[in-house]
Amino acid sequence: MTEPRPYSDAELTLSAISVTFHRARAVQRELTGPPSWPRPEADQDEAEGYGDADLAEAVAGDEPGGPPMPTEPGPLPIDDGEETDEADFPNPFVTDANFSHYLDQATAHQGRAAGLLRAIRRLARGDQAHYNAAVVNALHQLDHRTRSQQRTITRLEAELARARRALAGLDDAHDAPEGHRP
Amino acid sequence: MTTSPSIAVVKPDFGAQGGFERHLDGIVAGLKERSWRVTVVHIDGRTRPRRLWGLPIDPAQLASHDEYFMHMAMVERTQQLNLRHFDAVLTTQPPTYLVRHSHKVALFYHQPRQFYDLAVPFMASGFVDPVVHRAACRAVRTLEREAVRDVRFWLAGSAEVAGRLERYWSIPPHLIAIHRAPPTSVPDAAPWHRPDGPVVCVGRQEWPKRTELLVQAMHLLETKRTAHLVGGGSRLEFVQSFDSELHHDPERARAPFDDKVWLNRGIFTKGWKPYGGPPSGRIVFEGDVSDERRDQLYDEAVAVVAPAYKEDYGLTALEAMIRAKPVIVCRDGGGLTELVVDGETGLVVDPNAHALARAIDRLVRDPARASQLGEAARRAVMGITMDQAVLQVEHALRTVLTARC
Repeated sequence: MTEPRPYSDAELTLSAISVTFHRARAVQRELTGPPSWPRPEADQDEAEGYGDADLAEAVAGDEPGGPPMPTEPGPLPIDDGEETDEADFPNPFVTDANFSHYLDQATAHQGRAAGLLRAIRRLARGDQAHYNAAVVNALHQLDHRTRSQQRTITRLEAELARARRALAGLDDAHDAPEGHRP
Repeated sequence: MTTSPSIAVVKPDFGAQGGFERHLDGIVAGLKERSWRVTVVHIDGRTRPRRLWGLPIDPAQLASHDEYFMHMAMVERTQQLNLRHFDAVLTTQPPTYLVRHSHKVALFYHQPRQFYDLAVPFMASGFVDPVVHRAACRAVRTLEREAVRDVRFWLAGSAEVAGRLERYWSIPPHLIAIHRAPPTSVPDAAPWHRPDGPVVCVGRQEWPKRTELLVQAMHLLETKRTAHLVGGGSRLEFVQSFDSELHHDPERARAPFDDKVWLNRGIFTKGWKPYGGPPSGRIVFEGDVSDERRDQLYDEAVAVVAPAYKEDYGLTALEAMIRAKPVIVCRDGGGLTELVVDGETGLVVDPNAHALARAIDRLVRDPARASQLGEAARRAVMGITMDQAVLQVEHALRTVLTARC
């Protein structure tokens, strides 16, 4: 029977680091509970990359099942400035369908704005001035888009109410005795 | 009758008195003058742990990665503190920001950098086994990232440091303010420019202060000047040996710059032996000196060189600037490059010995320009005062305390 290979100092230290870390984390959680500050999605991305692209690259090889590498963001989503036109809704009886479509679109825009913020956070890593300017710009865009969507939703709600009133009128007319039809 | 709020200042005890300690002393004194009840709580930062969270630590493992286990020992000591009877806590160096308290302000100059922004050069220099260090980085970053969430406000020493807060811990910018520490001494009047004076470099001789760049630059100067290197440290012998080596082999000094000049373990490099030759005479190694001697050297200097890599703040630049000296820093100098604006208050050059030498020659040959840069530098930093720093800390503490109500 052969003697098992003795562990190297590095292997023993690695093991000790892992153990102390998990013990420390367990104690930390006992003491403080879960983080009180909910993380936005962008933070999760950063956490997985440890905020250090060089180190993340260096780490990549030794943990095949490990966290995904942070990727460079693509082009920023641009606010296309597309405004909804009253002429898009000539028929009050189809407003219901459009209303639902525009609500979806509004939600998608909110998602895009959030994506924009996340992309800017990644882009502006390490550059405070650029970061501040980018955040302000993103907030302006978000504000503009939100107000625009709010106007659209308000208008569509009014359209929907009118359409419902019109439908109710038609139904009343249909149900009414013949002699009372206007 | 109302009593003034009680504040605990949590400070690791490393057994050293550096620039940060002096600044903190000033902040504590200033707060006390303003009627805050301040208690400084020290955490042992020197004792190597035998156990961590009840687990025994093998001395061989401790020796293999001293940095990790020492840091974790301080994390444990910090978490054992019960400061609930204080109204608020001001945290300082790592890992005091992990102390348990619901009203914390962090006076923050750096993370444990070998696990964060210096991790890659630290490994590249050969200080640690890269596999072990990556694991340590992961552990420290994950643990701290969760635990810093309850810090209510961050006073960051520079935009460089604020950037690291955002980068590694996703701290939102609205919770961070830039807190500039004042110079340790301020002359009544700007000293005269000394075109015939030496080049001066002040700082600990430690990695990654990169004094090696200046040593090589002094061997490349076209003008005739000596450099005075102020400060002791574990790399002093290595830097002195490097000077002797370049003196013996001028071709090596003129060769293209190699980062390995500073990306190494210094005297701890395997098989390293000091070069036996005589010093070049181009550099005076002053070692540790008194404040008076340091200020005298600043006053006599034709220019001050601060070649450090990614400094948190850049106190040496500030000290030189308040004495109207043109400062030369490197582009990757971190906080140094926030204080020194290229061509306005000093020179910002590429991080290599050849660029440093050209910049020194330029200031020596053009004393009028050097004097102009120095005057502008002094004007630029005149507003950085201890009163201002104390007021900022006080404001942050009040904000945190008010938020409680």
